[in-house]
Amino acid sequence: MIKLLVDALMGNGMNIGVLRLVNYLSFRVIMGMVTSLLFALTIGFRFIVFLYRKKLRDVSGDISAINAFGKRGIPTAGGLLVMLSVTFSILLWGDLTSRFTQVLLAGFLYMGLVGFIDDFQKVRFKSSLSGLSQLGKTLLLLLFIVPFALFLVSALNPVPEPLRTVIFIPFLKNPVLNLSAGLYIAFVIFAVFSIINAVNITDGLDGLLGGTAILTIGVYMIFAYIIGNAVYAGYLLFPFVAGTGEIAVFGAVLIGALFGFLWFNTYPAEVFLGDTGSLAIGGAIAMMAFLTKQELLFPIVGGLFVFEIFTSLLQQKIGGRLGRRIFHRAPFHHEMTHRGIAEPKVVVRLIIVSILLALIALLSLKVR
Amino acid sequence: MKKLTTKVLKGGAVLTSGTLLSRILGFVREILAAAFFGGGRLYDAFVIAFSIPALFRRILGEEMFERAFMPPFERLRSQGRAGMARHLIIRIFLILTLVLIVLTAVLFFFMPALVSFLAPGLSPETAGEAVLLGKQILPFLILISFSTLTGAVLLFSDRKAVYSTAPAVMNTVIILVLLAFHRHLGITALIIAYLSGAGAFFLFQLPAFFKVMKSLKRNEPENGKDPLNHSLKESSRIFVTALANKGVEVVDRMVASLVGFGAISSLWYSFRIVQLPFSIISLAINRSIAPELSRLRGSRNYRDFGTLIHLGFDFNLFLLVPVTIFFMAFSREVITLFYFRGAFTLAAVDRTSLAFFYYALAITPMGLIALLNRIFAAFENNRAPMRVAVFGAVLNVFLDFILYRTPLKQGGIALATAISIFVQVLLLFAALHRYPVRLRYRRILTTFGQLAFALIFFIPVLIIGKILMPETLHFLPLLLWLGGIAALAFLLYGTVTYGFLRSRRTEKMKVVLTGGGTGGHVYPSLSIYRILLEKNRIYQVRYWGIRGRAEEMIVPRANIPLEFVPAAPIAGGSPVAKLRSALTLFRGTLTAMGKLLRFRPHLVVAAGGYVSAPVVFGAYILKPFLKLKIVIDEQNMVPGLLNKVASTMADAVLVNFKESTYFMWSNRCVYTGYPVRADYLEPETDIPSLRKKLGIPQDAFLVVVSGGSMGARAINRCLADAVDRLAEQRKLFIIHSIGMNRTAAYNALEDTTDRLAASMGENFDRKTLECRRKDGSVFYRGSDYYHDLCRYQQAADLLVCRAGAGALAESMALAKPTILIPKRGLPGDHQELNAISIAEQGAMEVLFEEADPQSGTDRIPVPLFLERIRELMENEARRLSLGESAGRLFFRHASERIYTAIDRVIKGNEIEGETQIVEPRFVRFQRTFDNLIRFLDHHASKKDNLYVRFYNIKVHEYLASGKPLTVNKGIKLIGSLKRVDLYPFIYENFDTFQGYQKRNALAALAKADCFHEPFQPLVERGLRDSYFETRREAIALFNRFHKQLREEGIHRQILKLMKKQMESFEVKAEAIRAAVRILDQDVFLKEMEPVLFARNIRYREALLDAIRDGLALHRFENRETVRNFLKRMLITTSQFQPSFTVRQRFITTIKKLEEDSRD
Repeated sequence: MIKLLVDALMGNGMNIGVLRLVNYLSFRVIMGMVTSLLFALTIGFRFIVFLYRKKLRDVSGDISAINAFGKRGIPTAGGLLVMLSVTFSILLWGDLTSRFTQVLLAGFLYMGLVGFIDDFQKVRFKSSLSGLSQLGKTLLLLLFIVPFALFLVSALNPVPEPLRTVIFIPFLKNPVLNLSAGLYIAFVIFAVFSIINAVNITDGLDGLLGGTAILTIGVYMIFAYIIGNAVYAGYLLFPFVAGTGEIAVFGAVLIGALFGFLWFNTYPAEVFLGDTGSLAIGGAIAMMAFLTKQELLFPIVGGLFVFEIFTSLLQQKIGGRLGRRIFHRAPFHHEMTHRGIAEPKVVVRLIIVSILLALIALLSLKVR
Repeated sequence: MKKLTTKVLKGGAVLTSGTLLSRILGFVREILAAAFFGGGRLYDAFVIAFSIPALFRRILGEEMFERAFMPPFERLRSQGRAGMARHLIIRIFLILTLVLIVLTAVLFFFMPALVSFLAPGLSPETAGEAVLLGKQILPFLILISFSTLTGAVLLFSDRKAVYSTAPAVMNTVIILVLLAFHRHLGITALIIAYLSGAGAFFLFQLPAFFKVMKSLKRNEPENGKDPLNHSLKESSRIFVTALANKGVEVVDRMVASLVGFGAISSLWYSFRIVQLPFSIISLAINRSIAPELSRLRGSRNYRDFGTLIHLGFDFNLFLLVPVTIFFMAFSREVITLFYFRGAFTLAAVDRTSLAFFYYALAITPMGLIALLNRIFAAFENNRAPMRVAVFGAVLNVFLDFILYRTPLKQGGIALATAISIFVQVLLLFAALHRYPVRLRYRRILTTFGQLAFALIFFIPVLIIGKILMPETLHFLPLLLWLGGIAALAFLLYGTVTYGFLRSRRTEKMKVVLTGGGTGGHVYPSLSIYRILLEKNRIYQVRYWGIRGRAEEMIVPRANIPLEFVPAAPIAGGSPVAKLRSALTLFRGTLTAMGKLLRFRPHLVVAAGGYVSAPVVFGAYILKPFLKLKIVIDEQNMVPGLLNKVASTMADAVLVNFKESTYFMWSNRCVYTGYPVRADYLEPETDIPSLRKKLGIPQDAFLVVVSGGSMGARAINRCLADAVDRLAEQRKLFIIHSIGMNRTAAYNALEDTTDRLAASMGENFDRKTLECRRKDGSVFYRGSDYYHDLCRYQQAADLLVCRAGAGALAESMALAKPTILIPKRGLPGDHQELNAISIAEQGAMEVLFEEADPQSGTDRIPVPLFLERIRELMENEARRLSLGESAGRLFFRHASERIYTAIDRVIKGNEIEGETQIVEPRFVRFQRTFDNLIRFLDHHASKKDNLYVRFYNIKVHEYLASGKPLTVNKGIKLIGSLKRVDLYPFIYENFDTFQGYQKRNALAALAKADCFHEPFQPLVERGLRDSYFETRREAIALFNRFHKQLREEGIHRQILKLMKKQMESFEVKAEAIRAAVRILDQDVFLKEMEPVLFARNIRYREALLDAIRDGLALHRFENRETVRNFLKRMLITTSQFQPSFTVRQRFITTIKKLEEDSRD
């Protein structure tokens, strides 16, 4: 909005030096991050109280169900806070005329909405088993993913034509594959759906998803910034795509909001992300991966998410059919707590693993 | 309030249509002028010259006459002092003439000085032109001044039509003259046009004016205070105010002449457009509000006065803000559209759109200022507006001089105007505090909130339109684009705001009742209707139900018009059936919306049943437009899916069970209890005479059996089968309501009579449906439907009924001992568990149905049924206590609660939903089956516990289901209920079990009270199983019965598992616990040496458990050694149990409170 306003003012003769700052990407990236962080911090506690009073509490029972150790009754759907902060900040600092921003924001909010429906049902039924059915959730997610895939191959996508359906592999300069549009669409649908679910499943311990997602989004933000900058892109041998800087702004805003959320969500949590947050974040990561054309970087930068969903799927699908457990507990972070490692320790360890993965991913910037 | 709104709106409409016409014509005039004379030097000169009469017209017309002289005139007229009023007008006329003569003379002689003062930056030749034009236009000043006076009189004499069309006449004349002469006469044509226009204006009003004056002619003594003096004093203030307001335009022009070529005309042209919406919308509203304000102020009705101000405020804001935004977004396009033609160049477009962009900001504040000035005028105090206006003017000039130097140029001048007007609005609002007008800030906030909400539908359309719009300078495409965008945006916006701006409130309501399918849904909605009817709140009523269902019989009896809406249940059936019912639902929603639009109800009461869903959906969609309220009444403890969805749309959900709040998705649940029929609320005291009337022996033990209006198969069959043995009970008398079900699957009457005939033989009379004992006395009487079942129930000693909401509430209301027979197999077994939760409080007896092993149909075990009846017949104390607790549980204030809740909803007050959500125990059990298992573990020995009884029946069903997960539940129940008789099921099927089942089977056996021989092979097989959890449970079973189990390689196997490298830590930990039972002290400690420093904490925990077990089992000879051994153990670890101090304190406090309340 600020950019639109500044453009309008400049178009109407108000050519003031300070206003020109807004046209610098780095300025907007930092201001966006700061704004969403401060916004989340400012309204955070009040928002938690609001959720609590609206009875959006995690599997809340009556008073007798509360004990001094458990997490029952802690407000959930805290993803709304992230969504609110992101929306506020992106409306201020994002370039709303950019197709990237529009798609990212729309997808982010839609996924959040789907998650919220799920959370809301869980809360209303007071059971973690009674949210949206698997099928319903899948259908609702596909309702965005399919148009998104079509958008990626269509002329609406600001990415230039030859790049749209090719696939890059990390650590290799040139694209290795150029898929047909149909195949690429199928690939997008499968990959986005998997990424969203992987991120969703990782949300299980206080601060785990927040911490790891910040790193993943950070890596994609850096990639987006570089690809959108003709000089850096040329130097690092990336295909230059105009306007991807807006993806960096979005990433920065999301990181700020997540930091603001982590402020409250870190162990012991005052509020949970809920599916609202995890689906929205998952959606954002998936969209950033595809819009920056770094789809196959995800198994590296989001290796943790991939591993988590792998363990969970193995336990559920194969173990369920066999009628026995394969791991003691799944997904993996629960296995760790089951082995007797304390929750905050598990979270920090997994974040350290994520940092490692992020560094490897950044290595692919230069090693190509 | 409604009258007030209409009155204002009607007046506004008349004014608006006239004003609209004149303003549009005036605007056409400007467009023509722009095309003929362009936006350059010549027009600059004309604007300067014309600004003097224009200034006077505005000051005299819109300000002084209407605000200073007319309020006293209006007051005199409304007080019936017509003569005084007429006199006042004549004197004003004289004064005006005098002023004009002097003024014209002064202006004529000092014109050059005036021009150079007004436009210091003008070039000499332009200034010369301006002086000439200024002198030529002086007659216009005189004519227009008189016309405004006559106009004001007409306005205040309710001749709004003439008043508002007169300017249109003027503009038409001007346009015609312009068109005729502009080619030949150049700029002089403009002068001639204006002069002739003003003449027409004056002449047009004259007849009506004389008529008014004539009507005022009346002989009466002139007395009282002369209002003119006061008016003159006021008028000087108003003059200053107006001068400050309008003079700013002049100053703006002065500064603009410094900016350079074309700036003056660019300001002029852009201001004309800005004025267009302002004058059309705002002046119309504010003008029609003004007389109303004076009237209300005169009658000191400050409540309506305040409401009116809010109304004006709302209207101004809602109408002007979007216009502002639209103009700012499309500033350039609008200017191009209106002016770009003829002599008006592209450069002029640039200049003008720059000014226009910033002028647009002033639209809303201008509207508000006009409103505020009129409020102050109603108080006949114009001091505050004067001061504020002067301050604003100074601020404006100050800002002008700062901003015109910036790159904004003439835009800066426009911006200065906008800022200063905005500041004036704020100051005037602040000044309003001194008056007895109490503005409700909540309401203002609401307005802003609603405005922001409505703009969400407005702005995106503009943004999208702006992005999609092609660059074009041609009139037609531009008009189509702009018009299209504006139409779309304003249409959306208007749709949203329409709901906000409409308000209505009445005491008597139009009500729609809905809900049905069965009587269980129809009766409650009729009860609510009666509650409202009793309080005299019903104006009109409709019942919307489904064709061919219970409501078709019941509703017409209550004299309520019944209409039909298509509906279908969503749950159950194949996907195709689901799709079909979804379509029906959609059709129903549309039908309901149509009906709602026609009936326009204030309240929709939905009492569940699937018909209520489409009605509620339709009502919810139309809610913003019809301002209706939705109330849902839910009788069942566990609502259906559609009701849960519908509940989110309701303003209040009335629930019968506190537990229902737990299932509802809405936060607005109000516990009201069940609105039982009035018959049930009056306990019958004279039972003997009632029995006499009903033909029942006085000394008989009367049992009334009923399975609801449709009838219950299991109950009917059980009773029919048991009837021959019931005959043996002396004194027993049975009334049986068989039910009206006549479907192919079950024909209640036929089936029951057949069975009765089978068991009673000749003693059953098919015609009268009576059974006789062998001695000939009647002891059974049946009927498919008793209209007066309530009478029988009142006379009864014992009731037998279903556990549905209605039946429950009725038997509780009667405070009779009851045997509940809950229906089996409903989703989540809720009727059974619901019955349990009531029976737990000692209020009812429960008899569970079970599945017939052969046919699978529901049945009630006849012996059990007989036993219950006999028991209750004999035990009078138990009967009394049951009846008493049932009566205690009944909530008697349902109707008051319901009325209060509905009243609150109608008044728009927030509903205080049930805050304490009680989680029903059965929900906790269903949510996690292990909760139930844990509960049963503790209560298994209590054979009369209802849950134990229920699940002892249920376990067979689980085991027979064939689904692995359900069988699994059955296995858990076997262990928990210690069903030794079912252990063979485990022994026989163990090898075919899945991993989970094996694990749970072994765990179930570990709960046994004593050792059974078949455990031995199971442990052996379990230890060798491929699934780690089975091995773990096998070791656990060994630990439980290690003394009885024979060695036979078990020990060796356990120790092997303990030492195995690739074993799950769970198994190894359990093995460590077993080791202490197997090994001697020394060997044990030796083996445990590595465990002391095991990396995995679970091993060390197991070791500590093992040592404690060993102590209890006296396995250690030398405790000191063990102690020294343990001292070396690694006890640093990351595992810890956090605890939240605030929660700990919360729990102890709550516990304390609960203890105290028990004392």
